[in-house]
Amino acid sequence: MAAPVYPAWVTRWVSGRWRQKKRPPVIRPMRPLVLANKVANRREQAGGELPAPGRQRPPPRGETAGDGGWGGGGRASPCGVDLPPVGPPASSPGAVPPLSCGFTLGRVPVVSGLGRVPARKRLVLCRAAEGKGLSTCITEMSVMMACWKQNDFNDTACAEEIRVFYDCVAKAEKERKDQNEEDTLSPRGNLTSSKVNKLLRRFPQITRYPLTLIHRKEQ
Amino acid sequence: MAAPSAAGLARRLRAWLPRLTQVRWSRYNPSFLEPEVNKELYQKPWEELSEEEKEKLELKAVQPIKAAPPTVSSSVFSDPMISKFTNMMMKDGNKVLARSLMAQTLEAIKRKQLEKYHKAPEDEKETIECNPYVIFHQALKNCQPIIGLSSITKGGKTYQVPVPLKDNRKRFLAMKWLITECRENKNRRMLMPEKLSQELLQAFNNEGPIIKKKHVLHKMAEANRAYAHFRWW
Repeated sequence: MAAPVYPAWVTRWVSGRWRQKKRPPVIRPMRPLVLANKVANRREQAGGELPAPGRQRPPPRGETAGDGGWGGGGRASPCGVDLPPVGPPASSPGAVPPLSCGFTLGRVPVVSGLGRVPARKRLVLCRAAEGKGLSTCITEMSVMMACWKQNDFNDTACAEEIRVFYDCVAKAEKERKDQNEEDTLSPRGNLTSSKVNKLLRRFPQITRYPLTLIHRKEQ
Repeated sequence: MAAPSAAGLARRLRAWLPRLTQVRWSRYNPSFLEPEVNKELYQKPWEELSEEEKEKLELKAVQPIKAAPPTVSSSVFSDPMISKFTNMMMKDGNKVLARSLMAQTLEAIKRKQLEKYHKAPEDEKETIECNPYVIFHQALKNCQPIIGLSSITKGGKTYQVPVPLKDNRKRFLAMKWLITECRENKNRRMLMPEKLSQELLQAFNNEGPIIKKKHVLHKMAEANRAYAHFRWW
């Protein structure tokens, strides 16, 4: 006799894989990406490049700069800030390459389109990136490394590049020391907390006025 | 009643210990100047000094000066780099042993170079360097790494970021590598001066395990150059 043909659910049940949650993926129709389509159409009219669709939420309030947060060539960052371009990812096989802001939220990579990160976390992460300064002497370092690659890491052959790199590093160090010394506002318009504390200690805020003064004001 | 809880004790201990203590600090008033050990500066006549040197000398006449530490000496034979290296080699405060080892190392280098010198033909004799101090300094310079790696955590992941090193850090790394190499990779019967002199001569000629270690560090920095933007200083 031929092998009995059981209905599909019977074989599924018997194999035990259903109970182990090995179920086939459910394919649902995609939500209409209204914002992405609007932006894409806008960009097509303008003639610029299309940003990646997939952002289904409006950019966070108060962080947009220029034209609705998509300004600037290169990468669209939710903070509207031009983040430095990231080079090619590391050669290690299993590593997640750093993307737009260059960091991951836990083990979930932060994608440019930011489909996975909730809005309030995006704000926090980008603020953290803004808070620190930019790294210096990257070009000199890359030139030196290119020279190393060509000359098999021989220092005598690359002496000129190494000297240039050292000069750049010394200059950056001096600049940083001068910047820390002076009492002016940083490029973002605030002082360091220690300076603010010292100033407030010298010129404290008067919260309690003497009674005589108050009476005189009321008159 | 019952013994005080561990948490309460810990809290009290933390309150008693200050949060941040400076490890290396000095009791000197900031107006104290560093002592000048170089005898030649004092032997120059007054007319030959430049303007700023004259000013400095005049300042020294009025400002108080710190006491000279015992490691600093005005002898012609003292070398700050060699003193630093001897201190790093020292174990359990046995400076006598460390100094004798250093002296034996320099002597061994000199002997080896002299042997090479006398065996070499006439035209090559000038290229052979016999001064052990010159060899020591050049070998250390060849061993110094140019960029280092620093672990930076960003978004939960730690990356090895290439970072320029300070001069002190470079010198320290070179000396540390030299000493660890000599301590670990040698025969049980071989003595430290012999092994050290061997390594120094190899480093002087830009070969040997320490130079290789430096190259490995450079290669890793080069592989991780994409993360260079994670630095914020």
